[in-house]
Amino acid sequence: MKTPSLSVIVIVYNMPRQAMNTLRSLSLPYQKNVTADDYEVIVVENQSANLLDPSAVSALGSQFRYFLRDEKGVSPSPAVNFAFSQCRGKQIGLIIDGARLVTPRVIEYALLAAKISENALVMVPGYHLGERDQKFHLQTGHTEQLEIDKLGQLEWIENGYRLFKWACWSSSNQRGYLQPMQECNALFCSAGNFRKIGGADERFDQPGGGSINLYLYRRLGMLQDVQLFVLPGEGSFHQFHGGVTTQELPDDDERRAVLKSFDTRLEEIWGGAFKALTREPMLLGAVTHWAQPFLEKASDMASQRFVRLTLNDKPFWEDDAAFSRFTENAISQLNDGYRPPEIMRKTGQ
Amino acid sequence: MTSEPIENSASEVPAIEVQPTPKNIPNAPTSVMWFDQQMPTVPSTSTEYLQDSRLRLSVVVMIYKMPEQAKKTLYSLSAAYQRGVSADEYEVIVVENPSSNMLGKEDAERWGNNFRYIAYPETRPTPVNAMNFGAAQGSGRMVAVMIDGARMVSPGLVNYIIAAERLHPNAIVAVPGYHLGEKVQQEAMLEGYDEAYEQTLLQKIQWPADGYRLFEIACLSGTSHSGYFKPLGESNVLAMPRPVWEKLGGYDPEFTETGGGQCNLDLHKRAVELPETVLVTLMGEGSFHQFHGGITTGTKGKERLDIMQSHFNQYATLRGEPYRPPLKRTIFLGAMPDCAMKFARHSASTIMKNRKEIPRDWK
Repeated sequence: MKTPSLSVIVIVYNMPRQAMNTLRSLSLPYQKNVTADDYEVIVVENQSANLLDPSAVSALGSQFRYFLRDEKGVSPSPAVNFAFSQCRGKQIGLIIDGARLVTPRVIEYALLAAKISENALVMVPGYHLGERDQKFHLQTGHTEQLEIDKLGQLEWIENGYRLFKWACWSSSNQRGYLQPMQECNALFCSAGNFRKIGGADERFDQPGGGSINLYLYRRLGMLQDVQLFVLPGEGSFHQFHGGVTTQELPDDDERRAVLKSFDTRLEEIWGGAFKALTREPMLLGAVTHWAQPFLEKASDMASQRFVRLTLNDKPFWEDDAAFSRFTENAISQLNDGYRPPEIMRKTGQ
Repeated sequence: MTSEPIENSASEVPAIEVQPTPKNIPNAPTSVMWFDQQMPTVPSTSTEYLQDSRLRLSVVVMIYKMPEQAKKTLYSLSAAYQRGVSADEYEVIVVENPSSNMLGKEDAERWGNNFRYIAYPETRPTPVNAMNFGAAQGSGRMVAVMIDGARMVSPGLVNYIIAAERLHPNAIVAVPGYHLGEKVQQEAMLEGYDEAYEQTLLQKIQWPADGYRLFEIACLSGTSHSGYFKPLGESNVLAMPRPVWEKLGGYDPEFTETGGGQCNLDLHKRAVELPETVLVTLMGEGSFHQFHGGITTGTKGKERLDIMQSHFNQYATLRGEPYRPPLKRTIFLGAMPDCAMKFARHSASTIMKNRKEIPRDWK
């Protein structure tokens, strides 16, 4: 058996139905233009009352490897590091929340990006299933049963791009992927770079890992030679499972307190005020018409952002300034007194 | 909670936008109704191929009777303007057909050591032979052909063509085409658009300080006007691996109409339709046509229609059917500069208005 180029880590805790969907979305023939030799999926499940059926996982294909762990804490960080120790690929994928379904060319494009640059950091834009961010599930009436029904109607297994028909951007990335994103829930990078940042920091010991996704994305993105890729036609779709930040708590103060504690921990570990990674992404991949409405919206919002920053004399991609970049047009535009055309100014005001 | 049906049907979609092609002309290109059902398949890259140390890219540029435009085009291809590449990674081969208004060797080669000039002794009004000859003189692993030397390019072009080759050894690279000015030049010229006006536009964006600002003063050209999420009819910078170029035999010399007629569309189609090739479109880059009294952009009214008619007829005669853009799905590559964002938005909304044109069950 060939050593796979890519190892995808999926961490599962107490959500077997959603996780099985996620794993199906990583299996063949749902994933297109790749073979079982190209990648492996490392499934690590933390012990709970609600476990995956290991035989169902292995039935998905020889590229799936399942591990069940006893975890005393409430964070997925140790499980991520365990999974990483099992990875054989030079490139890894991180799906820390096993409730994230992906579209059919995520694996293919992650592999392609690594061909362009071995330091590729591939970001799959995140969506929530449903009309609104799932943290408003009580208001919108989003229930697990509704989701099961809708997924059935969409026949997503037949064509995963139909997931875009019943999806929205989550609150953390509500302006689209053509501008800085807070976090990424399906992220690919080289194993070397993941090792370089010390793997998943186990100080993120809060439920669900707290803000570990935000931290990892920025840490990896700030490495010297990293080239950021965004896949505009692909997505990772969050399924409802009463997760730590995606459930609507009856008392909103309670949620705010939880998020506050996550932020505090994030800033402690980051060592200062935290902001989203601001590097210019390179787009890669085909875009199906199901994904086009989001591309239209994202390009609209990105135009507005460019106008706003230009009027305030701020750089577009601040974190790129530290590096000699592939496309440094943002900076040069500021230096030559760039002003956007009239038509764009109007939309920005 | 809304209970909208999930399956959206094509019947909600308004009528298809009218194509710019004059449909009453026999043999005019047919509009595109369907994309290829298949996504591009990308087999793995051969490492021996990539370890080859030859020059990565030969850009072949055709010049005929437009020295001022050519200088800007050539500057836009120089390492001083192109970002992320050095002059030792690619070469620019400038081929010029004889005319009363020549560019000449000195002005063709002053942009860097990687520029080479060939005066081609053509006796007929076609760029085809000169282009094929020029490409054969190059040594780059990829060949990029620019059949109209009046097209300036954006600053990431060379770098992305080289990157596309790493994606796949049989990558065909296409770039959306734009015209300088608010509307396509064949229309704008009727309202007084000329070289002097174009010069003021270029001064307004302080060209060439930031080449991406060309998007600010440009519009999509005729063959790309519905945006790049529909199949492009042609690309005015068309890059392909040298083995593919050789397999196709370059431009077909049977295209003897003025300016080569539809030879560029034909090459695009033949390259993209090869089963082993992958189409890569650089959505954040562009080629920008400068006004110069060219065959289809600088002639007026009936004269222009007559010329186009003879181009359509020749294509139909040679290929047995009117031209139809190749339907292979494209992979997009590249960053989106701020001033190009409006075209992404336009392209996305156009394709959404015309969803009938894409198969509903495309997987």
